[in-house]
Amino acid sequence: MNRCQLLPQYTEEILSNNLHVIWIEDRSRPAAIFSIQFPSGGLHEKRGYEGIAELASALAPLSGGNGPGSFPYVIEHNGAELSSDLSGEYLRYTVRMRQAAIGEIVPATWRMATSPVFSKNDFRRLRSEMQTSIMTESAEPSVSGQKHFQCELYGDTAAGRHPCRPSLSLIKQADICSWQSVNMVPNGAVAILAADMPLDEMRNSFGPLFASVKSEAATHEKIVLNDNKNGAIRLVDNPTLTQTSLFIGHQAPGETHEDHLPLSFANYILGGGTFQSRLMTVLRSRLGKTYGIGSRISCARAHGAFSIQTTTISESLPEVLDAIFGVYREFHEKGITQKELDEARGFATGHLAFDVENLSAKIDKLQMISFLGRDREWFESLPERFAALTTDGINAAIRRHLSRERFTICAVGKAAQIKPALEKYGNPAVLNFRAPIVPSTGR
Amino acid sequence: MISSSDINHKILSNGLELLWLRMSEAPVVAVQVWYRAGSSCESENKRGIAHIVEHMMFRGSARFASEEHTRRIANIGGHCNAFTAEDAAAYINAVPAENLELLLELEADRMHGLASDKETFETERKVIVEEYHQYMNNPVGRSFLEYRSIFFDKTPYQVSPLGRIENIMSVTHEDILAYHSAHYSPANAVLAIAGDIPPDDEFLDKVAKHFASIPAGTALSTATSAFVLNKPEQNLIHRRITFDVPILLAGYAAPSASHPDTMALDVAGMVLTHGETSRLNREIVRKKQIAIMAGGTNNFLRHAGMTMFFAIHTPDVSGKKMLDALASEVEHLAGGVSEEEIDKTRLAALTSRLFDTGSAELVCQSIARAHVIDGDYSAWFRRLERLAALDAKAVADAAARWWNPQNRFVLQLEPERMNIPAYFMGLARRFIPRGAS
Repeated sequence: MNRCQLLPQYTEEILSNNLHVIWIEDRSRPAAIFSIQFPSGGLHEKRGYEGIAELASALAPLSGGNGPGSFPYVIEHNGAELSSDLSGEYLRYTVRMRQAAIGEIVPATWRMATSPVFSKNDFRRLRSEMQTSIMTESAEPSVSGQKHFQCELYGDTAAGRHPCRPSLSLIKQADICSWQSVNMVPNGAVAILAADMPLDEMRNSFGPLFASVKSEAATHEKIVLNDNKNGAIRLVDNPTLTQTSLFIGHQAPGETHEDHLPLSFANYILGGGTFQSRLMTVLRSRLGKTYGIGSRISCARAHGAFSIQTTTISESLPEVLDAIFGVYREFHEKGITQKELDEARGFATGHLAFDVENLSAKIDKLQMISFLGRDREWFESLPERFAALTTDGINAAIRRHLSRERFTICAVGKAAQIKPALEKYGNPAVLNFRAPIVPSTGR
Repeated sequence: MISSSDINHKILSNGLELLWLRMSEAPVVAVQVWYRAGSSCESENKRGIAHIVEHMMFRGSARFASEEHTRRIANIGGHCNAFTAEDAAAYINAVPAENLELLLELEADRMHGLASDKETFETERKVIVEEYHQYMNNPVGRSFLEYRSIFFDKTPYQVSPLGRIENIMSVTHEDILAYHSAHYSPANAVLAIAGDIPPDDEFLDKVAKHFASIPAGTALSTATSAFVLNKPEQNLIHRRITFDVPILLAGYAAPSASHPDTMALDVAGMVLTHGETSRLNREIVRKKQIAIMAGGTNNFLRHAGMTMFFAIHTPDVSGKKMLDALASEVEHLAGGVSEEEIDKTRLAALTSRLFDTGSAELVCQSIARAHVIDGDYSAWFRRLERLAALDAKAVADAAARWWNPQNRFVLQLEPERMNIPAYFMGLARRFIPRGAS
């Protein structure tokens, strides 16, 4: 795909309250989407209050209870669909609606997002629900394993801590209100409204509303991470499991790092590209040792992680670890080939059509572009930047950022069976699967 | 918005049914092949074979080597996958529109025949065993498989598409080839295509070029015959599992996908479970504070169905108390539904349709599913019209017919050991005086 217009025509402006608004006139169907994104997320929680961002984001949509006039009532009785997305660095609400309901839904959503009011009962109920969800995670090795892995990877920092029963018990209703009033504010947020109506009418109808709430911008301390270069091994013992869930990796550059694109291509070739990746080809297609294996570069803006994840029957763990490290060593030493680069480029370029297939996808993309501080030009020039990548450039990025031998490893399985296989790589710290998911002490 | 008149339907001379729909919003196209060859077609000693064949469909055909199907599609930015359900095995692909013909070529070749060797089959068997264990390592999932085997006892739905491990281990390479040859033929398939496709003449030429020469094969019956569900000896099973909170699941026998009551039951299900203002949430989660969360779903299959409601609760609430509260709400629906509640579901369906029609893959899957499972591709479109015409009495009557104590079968899951914090958390939540709302 050559350079072409991938994103819809839009008009953007910064309102007097420093809210960034993107307006899109979309006449494809009688429907509208409103999305608002605040630059605050789980990484900005105070130590000991892990879970406050999630609770605050879940409580806001319960504004007014559930009777007539409440936010849930307005949304559901208009057939609208609300989704929320909380990451380490942002909170986003998106509402999809019929165009006919826009006059009721957009103001209600704006009030919910910027001036939420919820009851003590709902606070207690959602906190219980979240505590229950945490309890049930121990039965899902892929979920609990991922969290244990992050604990080891980032240590006792914002990225290594997770919501837990003690932290949730500590959070009071007033803390939530305070978090919302500081973080869910127009100043610094990005709102996108796409609707089946003339642009001027859209701006006249909703611009004054969006400008009406003044606030300070949310400020966050710089996120500092432990640099765990030596790696560590955590074994989460669950004697009932016949399989082991495995996580291997280390810290990596973030989304805004100049090497992010070459590293993404490298990751696609190693394990990100599903069936055609090197790891999948060897571990699944050739050896039949797993249902799935993948690698990924997961990113916040300033930091990220490279990881390999799989699940295998526990007796196979020694062979699987050898095979993974065998594939990885060859990848690191010899680098990628021109054929692999061409294939990865073909995927990335062709896939852009799906990234912007419909209005919902386009709005997600616009929110992400804005969050990363980029613009239309950056996104629409991606095909040119894909074309400019070389094997030498990607291999140099691999050598710069992917470690040869220092890894953090987390395995969830039956300790009596899998501990010897892990000891080949170091001395595993063994935890019971019901133990709280917390960072190791002593870092 | 697209309507059923926008869909084209044609049957090729070899019996292959073709459905196509032109969508111009984005330069992408979705191609799906649905075979009427789900797990309910399996013989008793080969449970799981439909799923194994689905895996083997990616392991080589006459002109494409093992995994080449996926590789070729990925290399142009597309994606593909497959799934095996009770009534069908479906193969789904989407690519940038200019590559439509590649998908036709790939799907036609593997419809024509498989070309894998025994060694590859044995490797793939190991992959399937891994998949099986992944499911069985989840204590809730494992219990549910046991539950459904009692619920659908003595019917072809008794075993899930995952199959039985002993059958997965004993199926041979020859069995796989024979199953493919008996079930994967034009006469037993629906080819659905949606997206930015060329004009009809050119499009139909391309389809014919790749599919018309494949021998018809034997058409399996498309008739629906309602399975009679046997009433279990006990209407409740109780299991202790390695899980920290109790779960209660109440299932009710439901009609087949083409039964006229399905629309009313879907609406009834939404009245009970859709959103914060739903009845289950309002009554047993918020008002009585018995459940931490509650929900439910209808699963209408070709020959029978199951409606499931669940509640997750804290250990201080007994299973019986939870069941009484949950069943009371479900079965009370027969007493009446308000017009306001039905309007809510109508508008939700309309909004969902407005946005679903922006995805070629979703549209393709919806029409193919409607054709293979419900018996007619236009059922997906007619749904909104039927919903508009539905009245409150029809919803209450359908609920009364299906969601009654005689049709109820319960799975009660309790933690194998008491979770003390959860117990006190539940007590505190229920009995500490409520704050101001």
